[in-house]
Amino acid sequence: MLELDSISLHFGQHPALTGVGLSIAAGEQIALIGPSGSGKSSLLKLIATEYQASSGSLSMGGLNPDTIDAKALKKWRQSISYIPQHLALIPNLNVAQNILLGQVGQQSTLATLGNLVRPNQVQLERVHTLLHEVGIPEKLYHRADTLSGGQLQRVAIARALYQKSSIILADEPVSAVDPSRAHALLECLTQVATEHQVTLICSLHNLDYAKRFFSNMIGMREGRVSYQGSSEHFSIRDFEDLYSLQHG
Amino acid sequence: MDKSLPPTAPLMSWRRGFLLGFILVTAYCLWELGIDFVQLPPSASPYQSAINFFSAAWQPAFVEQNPSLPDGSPSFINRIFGNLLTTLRYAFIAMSMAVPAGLVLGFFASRIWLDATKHLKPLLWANYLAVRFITTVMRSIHELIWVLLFLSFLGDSPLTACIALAIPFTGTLAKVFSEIIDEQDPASSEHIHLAGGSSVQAFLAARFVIALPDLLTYTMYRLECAIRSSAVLGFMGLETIGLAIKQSYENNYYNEVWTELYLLTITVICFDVLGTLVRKRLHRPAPSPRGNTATASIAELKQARPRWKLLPITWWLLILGAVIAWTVGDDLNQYHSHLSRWERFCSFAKQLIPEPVRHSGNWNEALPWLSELWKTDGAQGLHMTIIIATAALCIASTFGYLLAPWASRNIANASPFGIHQGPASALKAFSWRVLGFCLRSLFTVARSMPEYIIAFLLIGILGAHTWPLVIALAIHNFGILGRLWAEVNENHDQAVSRHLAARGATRTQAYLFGLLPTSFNRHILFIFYRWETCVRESTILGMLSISSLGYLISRESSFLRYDSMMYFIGLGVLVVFASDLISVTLRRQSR
Repeated sequence: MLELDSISLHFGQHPALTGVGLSIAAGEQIALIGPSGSGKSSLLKLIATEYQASSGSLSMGGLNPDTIDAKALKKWRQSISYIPQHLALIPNLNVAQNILLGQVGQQSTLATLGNLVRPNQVQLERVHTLLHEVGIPEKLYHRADTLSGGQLQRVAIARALYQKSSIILADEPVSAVDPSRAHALLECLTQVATEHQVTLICSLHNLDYAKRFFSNMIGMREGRVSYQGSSEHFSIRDFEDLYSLQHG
Repeated sequence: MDKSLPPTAPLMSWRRGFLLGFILVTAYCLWELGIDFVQLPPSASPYQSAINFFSAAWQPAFVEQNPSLPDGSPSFINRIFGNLLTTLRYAFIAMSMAVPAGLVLGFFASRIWLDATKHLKPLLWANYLAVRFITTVMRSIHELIWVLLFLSFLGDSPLTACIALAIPFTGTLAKVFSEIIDEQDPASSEHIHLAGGSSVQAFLAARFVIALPDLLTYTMYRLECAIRSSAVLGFMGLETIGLAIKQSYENNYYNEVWTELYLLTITVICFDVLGTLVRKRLHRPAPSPRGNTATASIAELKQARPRWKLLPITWWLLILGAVIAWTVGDDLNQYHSHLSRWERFCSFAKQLIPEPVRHSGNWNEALPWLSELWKTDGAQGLHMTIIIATAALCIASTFGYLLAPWASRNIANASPFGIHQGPASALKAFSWRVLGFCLRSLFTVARSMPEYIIAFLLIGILGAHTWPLVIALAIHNFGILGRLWAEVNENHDQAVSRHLAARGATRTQAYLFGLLPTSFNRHILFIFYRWETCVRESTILGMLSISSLGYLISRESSFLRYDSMMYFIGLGVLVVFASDLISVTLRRQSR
């Protein structure tokens, strides 16, 4: 269970999040929607512990990343996969090496170096299986900078799965692809999340995708949560409220 | 669905190839040099020499150590400050000649003119190739060899030495200026073209203006280099701080040596810090004034315009410095010889004709003479020059690469890459900051000391052989590379490292697997870039009486055998040309 209690986040004078309170159960698949600048990315980065809350508390299994020691924080981080908007893939490494780096937080430096230079058969097969799941097994040894945008996003998903975490956070994973690819990618992401029984929180701009692929939604506006509930009950009025559209 | 693994990844990549090549080259150089670091007479102890020299570092002298100076001699402090001012004076004079000349040559050496009007193309190409050739020759010959040459045929006046210093600086400035101009985004100048502007208008109003911060930044760096080179002029007999260091060291006045070294280092670091402050301001907009300016008049707006005050102050001070350097102080054009300059030049020119040809008048005898020079000394000198340069660079790169990450502010930090690592004690945070600061200082000090002076001092401790030269060149390049790499680490995109650190990677892992793979090629570029410079430097280090081309050049010069001296200089130019070409090719490969 992931709990956020009255979380606020400020960048200098600018508030990015204000009084955010959420409770997310294990295995839930949630779409995070809201206009640009509403705090979606900040919220995901905060859960991923890239940012520290200015006030309020974040906890998972009763542990707060701001108060635990370095060792426990490392464990916390290992249990969360994060797919940032820019994907954070290394262009001049191949796909297998990029995916293997998903477990960097769980290995020693020497072991990671060894895996990158000469991965063992078991690891390679797991990477290959994941690439099958995301639909690009033939790209195992291709350099990341030779792949298309959609393929790169699949590699990032495979890397997130390779981490064997209990939560996947995806920040606008379909923002740069055409509708048919976006559809396929979200299908892939939700399907693998279901198969691997992980919690999925995915920020999106497209309400249609959010409703179609996710059972629950969180709507954000001006750094606050303005909607939390099932996608089914998210009405057109909620949508207009979220995007500050005129009624009628 | 076929789930069998595709064939394995290719064994050899660019990175693995480079690392393998690096290890092989390092091993070969070390094998060539041997592991005998000390070559002193049997009665001398390197440890005792080192202890004597380094223990004096804690007690720099403030008065003359020489007890037998006549009354009325200037005090030690006055003398070395005089030497320091002379060092700065020659550096300013050389730069005041090199900068305008470099700008003009850089303008003509730019590739942007090659796309201009079609009917002028052959002429523009001819101009481009000619200017490129001239600037390459100018910078291929080290400033000390230019000085040696100029002093040989024009006599030993300070102005001659300053002109000789200005020549390679002009070549280097022209090359870098033209590259900076070429690398600018052409969009703005194309826009001026489309609006009916001429090529020159487009250049002046767009390209040059956009390139100006980089041009000024590089000029500041060259000024710092000029101060170092000017200090080394002391080893040629000019009264710069190098002469004071040389004399104090030769008389075993080590406390004096340390005072002089500190003074030179502090001066170079001051210009380095000034250069850094200027660079930061040149590349960042000045802060906007506070308060309501909506109702301000034009004069008030001008008064309150965003500007960095340091910049105009620096430019005016530098211009003032150049004017003072030319006008205040001893006569620059002193000349003490029974021969007139013209007679000296004619005698020098006559000596340039190969000896057998001079006697017989038959130019067919030149080839066997050249071949003999190559066999007796040339090949060995060339080989040692390359070995010294390459070994020094390999050693510098290894140590620099190991330490650079811990000198980078984004890594040597309680929250590496900006990702917090749990509650950090104040002591831990402080320790990281101290480590980063100490390493950055180490790089700065290492690069601020001219390699020629380090080699001179090391020869006194380890004996006259190749290792002191290698170590000296390695120390200087360690400082340069370490700092450049630390800056690359700080300025490179941190996204991947941040991502890894936020997923539980340690500081080392986030660096090794996040930052290093993406910045590797940029790091390697610097090694290739420095190799060419190291070859130039190792040529002149031989002038400290150790077998490389520099030794042969100075030996021939001291015997007034200018024909063979020119042959060895030519060999040096060829090797720098070749290393430049190899360096450019490898840099292109690694991009």
